[in-house]
Amino acid sequence: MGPAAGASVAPVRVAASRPRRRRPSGEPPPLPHRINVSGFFWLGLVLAVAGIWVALALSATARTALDIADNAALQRLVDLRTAWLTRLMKVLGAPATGAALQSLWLINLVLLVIWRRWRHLLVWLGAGLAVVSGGEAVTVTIQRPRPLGVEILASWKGFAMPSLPLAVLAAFLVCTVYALVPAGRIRQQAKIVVAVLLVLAALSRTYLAQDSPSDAVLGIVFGVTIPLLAFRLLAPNDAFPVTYRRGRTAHLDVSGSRDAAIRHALEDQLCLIPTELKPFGLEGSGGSTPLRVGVKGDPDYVVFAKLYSQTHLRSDRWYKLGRTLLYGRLEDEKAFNTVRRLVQYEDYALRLLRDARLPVPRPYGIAELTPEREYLVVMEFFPGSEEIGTAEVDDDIIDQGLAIVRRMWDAGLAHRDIKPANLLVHDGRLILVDPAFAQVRPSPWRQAVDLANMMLVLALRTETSRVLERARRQFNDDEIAEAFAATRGITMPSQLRRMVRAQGRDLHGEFVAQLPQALPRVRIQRWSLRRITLSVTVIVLFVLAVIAAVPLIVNSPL
Amino acid sequence: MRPRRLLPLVAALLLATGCSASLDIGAPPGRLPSCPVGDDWPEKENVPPIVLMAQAVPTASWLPCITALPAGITFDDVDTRNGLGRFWLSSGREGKHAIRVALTRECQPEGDAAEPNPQPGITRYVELGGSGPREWYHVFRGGCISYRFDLPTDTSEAAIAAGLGFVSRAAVGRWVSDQSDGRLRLDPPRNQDGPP
Repeated sequence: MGPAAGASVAPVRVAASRPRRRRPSGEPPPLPHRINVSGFFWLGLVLAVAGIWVALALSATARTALDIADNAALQRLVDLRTAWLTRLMKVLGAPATGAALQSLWLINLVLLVIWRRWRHLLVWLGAGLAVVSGGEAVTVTIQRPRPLGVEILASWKGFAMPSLPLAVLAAFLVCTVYALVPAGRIRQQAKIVVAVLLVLAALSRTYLAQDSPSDAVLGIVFGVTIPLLAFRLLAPNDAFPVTYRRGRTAHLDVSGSRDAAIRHALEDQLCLIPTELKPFGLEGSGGSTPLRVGVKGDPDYVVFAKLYSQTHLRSDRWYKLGRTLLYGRLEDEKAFNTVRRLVQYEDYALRLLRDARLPVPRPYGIAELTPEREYLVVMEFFPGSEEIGTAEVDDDIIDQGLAIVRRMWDAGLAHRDIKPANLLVHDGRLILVDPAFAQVRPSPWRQAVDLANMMLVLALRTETSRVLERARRQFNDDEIAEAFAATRGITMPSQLRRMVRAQGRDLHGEFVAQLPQALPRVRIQRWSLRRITLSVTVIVLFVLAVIAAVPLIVNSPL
Repeated sequence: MRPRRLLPLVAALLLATGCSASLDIGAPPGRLPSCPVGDDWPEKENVPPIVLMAQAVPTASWLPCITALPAGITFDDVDTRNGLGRFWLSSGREGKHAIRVALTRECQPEGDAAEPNPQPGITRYVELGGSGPREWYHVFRGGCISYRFDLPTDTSEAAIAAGLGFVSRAAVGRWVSDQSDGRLRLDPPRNQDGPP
């Protein structure tokens, strides 16, 4: 059977009735990268605040003018002082104390660690530190005394402009809202609570004369803006949603504006008019957000799309760094630089495998949502197909699987991710999908691993002796023995490892036992000066980070 | 390895160390709290640290300042909070924070009263002997200024002390008032009582 025979099962693509349109140069992309109107509002405010600080640092006249204005306002508050109001104000100011702020930080730390929301934690930490350190630097530069001519009724520390306790409180509360509260109505309500808390704390501190009104206001603006911009730019909700559902968090939310952008991009760039857009097979995918897209045609048909963003690019980088640390440079471990290159590579690999007459989905091209940030790779969908891990595996399917490997060997290609989720059975044909890791001119070791993994996948649904008997028709015993010598636990995709373990069978051992010779295991550890240097660097950085992190937990942020 | 790959780690480390710096080392050093020459300060920006110390101990009739530090001694940083104003000096030989000057409302001086007193109304006590840090106390109405020397015994503490000075609260109050053409004052009016 020809392995390419299964490749032409999708309906012929029918172009949309609307002609392909050129996007004018001034038009924004389907999903522009934005920090929202409120982000610009706060950015404008913080720039104004920075201007005021510069003026205060440079001009004694400006400092005196502000002192006089603040003093006039404070004197009015002093006139309101009564014993009961003072007691109340001390309570209202409690959130802006060192102990309260440290508690807030530690609660966030624990929750973010429990939910493994590392991205949010890093942005939280960075924004919090920026406000604490930046605020301290400003106070020392401006050197503004505490309110003059009024009695200060509560504790204080250091210079007054900006109010560091209020800046830190604002920053920590905004970080809490963006890191812990899901987007939507509940987050809007949380923002109102934060605003009320900040107003009350500011009122308390000015009443007690710990801060002048301008210290309080500028501190809050500074404290709100830094984390707001940090979260919107570095952990945007659509890429890093705050959810409390179990499951992978790498998948993007494809509702709302992204749904509209995907539809627009597919129609505009690939002439596909989407009728339906649904996440599909999320559980089997960690490297992208897979989608099933219904398309208008005659008749209507379905395509498969994979949505890639910078999140996936970073995952790819960390994955390759981890591999380099664990095994050395087994093969090409260079990470992609941009999302565009990542999707271009997958589209290219798909076309290359198809040109080699391998049974892969028909590629439909790439659609751009946000330049350099988000792209879709679109390909043929196989309705009613079944993963090989649950399908009926007969001699024909076994032969097709082994022929796929044989053809890849002959064409100088390796798939590098042979696992049940990437082998679909559709109308008696075996289809190879997800060539994102495919490699041209791979090492003989990698080609051998592809063969062993294919045999192991096939053996999940039948006897090893049957798979071996069929394999001997396309590969000799030396090649098969080498394949199993090259393949051990860690060279198998994790899904395949899991499924083998779940069956309680030693498939690898069964194959090896039936071979006339067992070759010694191929060593996969590759040591080099580069790997040693990298490992030492990572260990040193980790230790230093741990040492540096201790004060973050032990000390108060003020 | 490409530097880009280590970027997140380095960024995390920098952030973390940046925080520890802000927590452990304190803010960047403030400006020198220098004493007035005659009735005025030659550099106006050096007065705010003294104003802040006056606010820290509202009863203190005298405040610490620096006249001229001897060679090898440099200003480190200042830490002021309600009830306490401190600044530190470094010694070229003994390193950071070798000398601490602290203003408090009260102190319990040890040692004998030493003549001459630096200013009328200020009584100096000098702690004698001992192998650890030694302290000089200056007691006056409403406050106490102490010098803590963490230096070898052969160092001339007197030379360092001579570089330190005192400025009256009244002088600082006058400066605040002059800066605002009389519209601001350092201390609240005497009849302005906060609630207990």
